[in-house]
Amino acid sequence: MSRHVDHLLAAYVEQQLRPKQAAYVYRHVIECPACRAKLAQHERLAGELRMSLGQWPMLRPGQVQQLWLAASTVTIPPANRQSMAALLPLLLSLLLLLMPFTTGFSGMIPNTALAVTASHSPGEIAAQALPDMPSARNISPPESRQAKLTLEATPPPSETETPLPAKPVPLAPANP
Amino acid sequence: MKNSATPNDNQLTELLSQAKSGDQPSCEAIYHRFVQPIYRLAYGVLLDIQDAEEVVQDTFAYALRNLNRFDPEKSAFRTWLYTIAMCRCRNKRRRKWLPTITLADIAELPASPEPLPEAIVEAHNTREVIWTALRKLSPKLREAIVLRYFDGLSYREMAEVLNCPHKTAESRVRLAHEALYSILASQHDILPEGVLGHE
Ligand SMILES: [Zn+2]
Repeated sequence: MSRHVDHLLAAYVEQQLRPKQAAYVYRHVIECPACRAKLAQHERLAGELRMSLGQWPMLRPGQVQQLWLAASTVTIPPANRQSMAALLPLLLSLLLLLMPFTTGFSGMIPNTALAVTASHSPGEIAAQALPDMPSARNISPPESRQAKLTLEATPPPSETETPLPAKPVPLAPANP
Repeated sequence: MKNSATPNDNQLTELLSQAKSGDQPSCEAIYHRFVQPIYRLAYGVLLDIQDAEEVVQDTFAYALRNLNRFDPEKSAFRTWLYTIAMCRCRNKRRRKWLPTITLADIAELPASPEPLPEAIVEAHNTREVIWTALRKLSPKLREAIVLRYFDGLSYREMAEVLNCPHKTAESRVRLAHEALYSILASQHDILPEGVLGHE
């Protein structure tokens, strides 16, 4: 019988041996009950590792959602908001064009409807229209995780600090 | 290093392309596809539930903001993502001393508002024995064995995530396997049936 192969069994199970070496180990364990028993144990360990590390731990659905909220608060690039903002002047112009028909040319255009600059995002408009409703971007992540973030989070536009202009402003965008 | 494309790959490519232009549902779909393996990886490396959750959060927050940095010609997306996660894990470990945790400590994992996973509270089962042994490995060996088994990475992918040569990845896995084997064999009397038990 060839020499025992204990020292090669971990590498064999972890698929690190060259084909020739692997064949040598295989031929040996067929003949040698001691090495065969050890190989079975190494294989069992690999199987347990696959089960333990490949399936556990699992986040529960609630945690998955919580972490998504926390991660996406600083994650989603503002591309969507920007594209909406780009459309905003067009929508508002349309609204202005239609307004005389709906208000009977009274000229009583609500201040809040016009006090929106072209650079404001839809979220801000929603926030102004419904002051008691938090906008999606203002929802805090669960617990205190947000404070722990070390990321270079882009600060949200300073919507709350921006004072509303007293007078209606032109709706043409400076730079669409 | 691109693998041959499967329908799954094509779907991911599509999701990535949409996510790059800021499409939130695509970002979320990518998140849902990888959140569990990232969590397993982070927990395996850090052995701490809260740290693992923070790594998940940081990894996705960074990755989804920096999708333009992902180069599909250089690596697979999952490898890129796991590399970010591993980097976050290492940073976290550097900032924190990792105490040796005994079997008894496992029942005292950080309090969670929801019930603990059943696997944690079940005493002396096979999984617990394996995790107790994993805690005794050095961080480098544990990183390697976790990477090998948590999502079926190849040695080449492992080397990429670990930022080390292919042969180093192999030898760390082998050393980790041998160390676990010795730990479990030496504790033979306390092992439940099925883990390195008698034939
Ligand atoms: Zn032998």
